[in-house]
Amino acid sequence: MEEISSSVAVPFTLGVGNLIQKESAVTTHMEITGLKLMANTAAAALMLNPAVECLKENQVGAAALVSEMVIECESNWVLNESHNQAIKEDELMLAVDFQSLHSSSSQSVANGKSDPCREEAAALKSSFSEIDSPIMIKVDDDVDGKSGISELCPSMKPPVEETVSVAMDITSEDQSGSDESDPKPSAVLLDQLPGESKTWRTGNPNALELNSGPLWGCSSICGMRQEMEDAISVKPRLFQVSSQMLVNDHVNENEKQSLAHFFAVYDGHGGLQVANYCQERLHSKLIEEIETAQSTSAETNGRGDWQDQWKKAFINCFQKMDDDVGGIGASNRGNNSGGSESNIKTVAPETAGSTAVVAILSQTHIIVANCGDSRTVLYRGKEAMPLSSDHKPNREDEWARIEAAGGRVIHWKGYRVLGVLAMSRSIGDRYLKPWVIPEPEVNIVRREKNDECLILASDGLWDVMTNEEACEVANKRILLWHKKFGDNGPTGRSEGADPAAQSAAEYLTKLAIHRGSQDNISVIVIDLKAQRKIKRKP
Amino acid sequence: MNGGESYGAIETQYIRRHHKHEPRENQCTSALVKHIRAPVHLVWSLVRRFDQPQKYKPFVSRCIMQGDLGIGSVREVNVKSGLPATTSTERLEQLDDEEHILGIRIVGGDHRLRNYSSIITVHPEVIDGRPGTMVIESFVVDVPDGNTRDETCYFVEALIRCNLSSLADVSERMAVQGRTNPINH
Repeated sequence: MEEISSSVAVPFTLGVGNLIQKESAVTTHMEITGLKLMANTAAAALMLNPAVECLKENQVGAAALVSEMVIECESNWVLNESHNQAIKEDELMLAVDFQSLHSSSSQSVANGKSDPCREEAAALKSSFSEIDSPIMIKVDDDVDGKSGISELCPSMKPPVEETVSVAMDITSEDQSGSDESDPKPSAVLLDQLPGESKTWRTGNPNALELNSGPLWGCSSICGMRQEMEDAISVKPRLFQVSSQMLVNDHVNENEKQSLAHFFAVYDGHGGLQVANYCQERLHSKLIEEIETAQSTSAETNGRGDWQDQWKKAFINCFQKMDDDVGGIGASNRGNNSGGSESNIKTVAPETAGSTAVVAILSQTHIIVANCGDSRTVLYRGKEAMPLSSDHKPNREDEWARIEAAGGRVIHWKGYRVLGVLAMSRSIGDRYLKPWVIPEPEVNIVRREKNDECLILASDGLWDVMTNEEACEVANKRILLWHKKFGDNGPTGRSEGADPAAQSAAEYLTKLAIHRGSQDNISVIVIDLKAQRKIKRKP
Repeated sequence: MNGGESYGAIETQYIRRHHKHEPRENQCTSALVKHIRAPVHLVWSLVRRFDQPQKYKPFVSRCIMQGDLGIGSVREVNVKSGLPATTSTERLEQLDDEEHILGIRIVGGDHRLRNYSSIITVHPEVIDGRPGTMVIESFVVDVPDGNTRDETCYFVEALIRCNLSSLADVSERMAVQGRTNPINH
């Protein structure tokens, strides 16, 4: 598996004006390097302590305190480095907002803890030497590039804030299906740091929705497990969906088409084969099913509920994926008297399986299909709305379905089907059929003006974070990014990840690690605000 | 596959002879039978590999031997994700290449299976006029706090059933390959 740096954001301010006054390029390079080393060692210190504490006390509560300390320290780090009073005030407000995520008691404790960290940061600032640390620090920035930026913008007065990447034990892997549509996170950040924001929008939001791609970011990290079995799939502008698939207005002769974007998180278990297969194939299968549904809709002159058509399309799609990974026509291996068909070629071993949470984003609707215990949550008007329901064996209706089929739910380190698998639905897991089924639950919601963002993630995130926390943190990171970089004008259609949503996704995975997540973590964040203009205080 | 407590006459004889467990009050025990369309020497070659259970056990991701292979040796098994365990430490108690008997005891791990002991025997039989194998695996284990005897047997049987099913797939595939290869005389 390819190992790349995790983008641990440690923003600090470079005084561009001061740097420009330097007499020689060599001096400039030295100073930039020194600042990066300082930031890196600070990041190493920040990363090292929480990890130790998390290992000592494997409790979500303790991890919450640790992660809060990290948030506090990081915000303070920004404040300490900032020379712009307006920015300082904004970020102070954000820091206070972050603390509001926790109870007042933990808040007071965190305040106490943050002081040593401030002192540590101050101490680090006085020294450019690298602290001996078992954590490997890798600087990914292009020093020449930074120098070039400074030279190209001699008149730029506002400070340019930089994100430094630090390579830790955490392995970050981006498993989107297409390299072109999903560049590496660090590449995105570096490409757009020079001051250009491709996601900036003006004019008619509806018009922009029709022409522009979605504002998405994603992060996928191995975490505490030995192997990476998660997969993410992002397919912007995957297909055109006819109006008949979005409204019941079959009288309308207008064959208006709407762009639809595809997002999915697959959390594999017992092997990575099923999750990888879904990543490669599920979206194509879905297109086939949707085209079939649209043809049927046309034949019957638009009669029939359009929502039922989506459900059928998803159910058929997931069933076919399940058939594929199990080997079409696979006989029951448990049959003693019958002959086993050893010639069947299967995509995956019978003990490998995967969750699948899929979100289709159209101009007017969000359509969600879920199978397993990954989850998608919509942040609407400051409220976290789960759009999917986890398929756990102890969910009342799932328990009843399993026992009706002759299976059992046994509490063995959590409720499990036969005491073995901790989810009641999945794609694959042939050995647990007919109790574990691949049928998704489909949910369709109309988009609204006060929709903030949409999050899809595996249980590596949701096991250590509430829906509300994840939504609030993601939204604040998006706003924070725009405060720092959002001033630059629009540059038209966006391609690839949106840097604001990307920073939110990366922050969520980092936060989950600090909270003590013991699993792979995969997160997709979609900014649902077509237009974000944040006024900077003068 | 025979389920529950009902066995044929031959199975009953083998169980009485090789699969005697004396469960204590807080323990449960059971035996499972699997008929495989592959010759006994082939099936036994897979079963007896104490150092490489991953050859036929689908839940094993890795196995590391501690010391040399022999009676009393211990292996550290890493379990694939999704299961309620990550490791299992197991000791080889019995290995009889004449009678085709393998005995294993679990001595550690994070699976909640305490005082687990199992015996696997393989026996030649004829299936549809071809040489086949009857595999019997029995076990005895403590019933953990919070679970019933019934639940514990159900859980362990599910895992063993999956292992035996995979053993059948692997050995039958090997048998088919062997049959299609030309025999050099």
